[in-house]
Amino acid sequence: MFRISLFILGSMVLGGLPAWAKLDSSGVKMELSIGQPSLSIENPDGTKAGYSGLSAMGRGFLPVFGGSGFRADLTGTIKYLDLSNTANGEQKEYAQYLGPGLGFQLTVSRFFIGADYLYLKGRHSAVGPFVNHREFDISGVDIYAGVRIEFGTGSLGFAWSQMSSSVPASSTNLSTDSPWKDQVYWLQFSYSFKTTPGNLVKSLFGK
Amino acid sequence: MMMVLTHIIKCCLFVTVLWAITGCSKPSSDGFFYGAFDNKPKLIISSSSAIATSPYIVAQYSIEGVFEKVLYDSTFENVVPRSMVAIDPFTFLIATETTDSILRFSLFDGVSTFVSNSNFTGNIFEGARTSNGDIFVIEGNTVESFDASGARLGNPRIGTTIGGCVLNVARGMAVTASGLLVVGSQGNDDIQFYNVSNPAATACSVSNQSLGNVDPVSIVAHSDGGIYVAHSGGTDAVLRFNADGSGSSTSIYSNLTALNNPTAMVELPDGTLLVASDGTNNIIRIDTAGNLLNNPFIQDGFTAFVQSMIVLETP
Repeated sequence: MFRISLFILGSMVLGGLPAWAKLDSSGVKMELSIGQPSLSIENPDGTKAGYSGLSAMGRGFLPVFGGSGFRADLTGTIKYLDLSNTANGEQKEYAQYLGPGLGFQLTVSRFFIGADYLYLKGRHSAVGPFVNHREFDISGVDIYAGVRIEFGTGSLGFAWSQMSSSVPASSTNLSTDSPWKDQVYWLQFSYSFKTTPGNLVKSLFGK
Repeated sequence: MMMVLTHIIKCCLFVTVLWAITGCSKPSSDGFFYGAFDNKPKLIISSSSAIATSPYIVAQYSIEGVFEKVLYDSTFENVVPRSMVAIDPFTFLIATETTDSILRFSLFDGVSTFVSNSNFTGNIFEGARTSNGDIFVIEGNTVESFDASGARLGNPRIGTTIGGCVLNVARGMAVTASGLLVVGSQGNDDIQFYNVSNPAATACSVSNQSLGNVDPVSIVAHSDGGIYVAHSGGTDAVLRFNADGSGSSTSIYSNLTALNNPTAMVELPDGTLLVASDGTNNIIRIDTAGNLLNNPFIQDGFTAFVQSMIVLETP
């Protein structure tokens, strides 16, 4: 709740800043983000395993519709999570997730919302009194919202995302699937090519 | 231009502060993701074997009966590990005699004190845990109880006499699927069934007095719904009772050559029963139809006097 309040406050402040550049409503964009993830996995007996760490994401934007102060994009995403369990003691648990996704994003003025369908390959490693390695795949919808300010060809943004999925029981030898929920606060940097997809392709491959 | 730069710097500062603040909190964690581990069930045995160099031992075996490691050696402290109660796939409690206490044992972090209570000083034997997390441990002719934090419940929770249930040298304890607490009573040869749903008003549900002149030692509430009781005295045997305590028992297994002075019993994940046999210094495996499957299932330096057996498995 505290984080969500901060996020809303931050969005209001960033959203209230004066416009320095008109929203680029048709340019192809690339975005790199770093974030602070907070992952929770629920065991079949109701206990929860919590994780924190670092995340990174790359996203490409293909504009499909745009106007004054508004644009809609198809997006392609690669997301990475590097996590460690927050329980204390001699036993340690580390986890990594990596995978691609496809989605869309709507932008109005400085505010944006979107969703990606992600397919992540995950691995958990137990180190300590018990040593084990487990790999599995999960998929789900990652929803997000944020605020972005543009300056020239670049932009700086702050966003929040949440993805829900479940780790299949068939991958873990547990009796039921394990609910999986990830939240990330992102700091985002993007670059706009300031050109349409067609012109970008021409400039790359044409004369 | 200067105005734009000023705003960018302000923006960066704001986001940095926001980033630092949100980074101060970690997600809460009860423990680890069970899926990260191998999730093979583990058999845990507490022993006070006189033929072992270190007689007071809690040891871990595979579910196939292969020794894996000693978890806790209390020989030097002269602490006898008696009953064990599983809490989760990696944690269990050990009720101890000589120094009466309940220890909490984590397969990750080892042993720590769970209960050290001035009212917990009698003869400590078997224990059990109800679905709401209450812990029950036999203490002489009574049953002590503690909540999940180790706080004592009742004074004691089950006294010597409650309704028609009378405890006289209590031995053996289990919790049925419907939540009844089953306690054996060697002095009067009874099996007592208690309703423990209300901590302030424990009630005697059934006092089954059909056992005859034998001494109940260990009780298992089996996944098939039956209550299995191993007894010594007379011809040592394993009996089956109805889950509600009604009716008389059925003898499942009796063979003094293989089962001589049983001391502990546990159900394996496949439904078969392990019974520790003090007279033959080993652990045998039988099925609920009374077939002897392994004799011995385990026989080593720790199986001469097994106090308790539990199986830890992921849900």
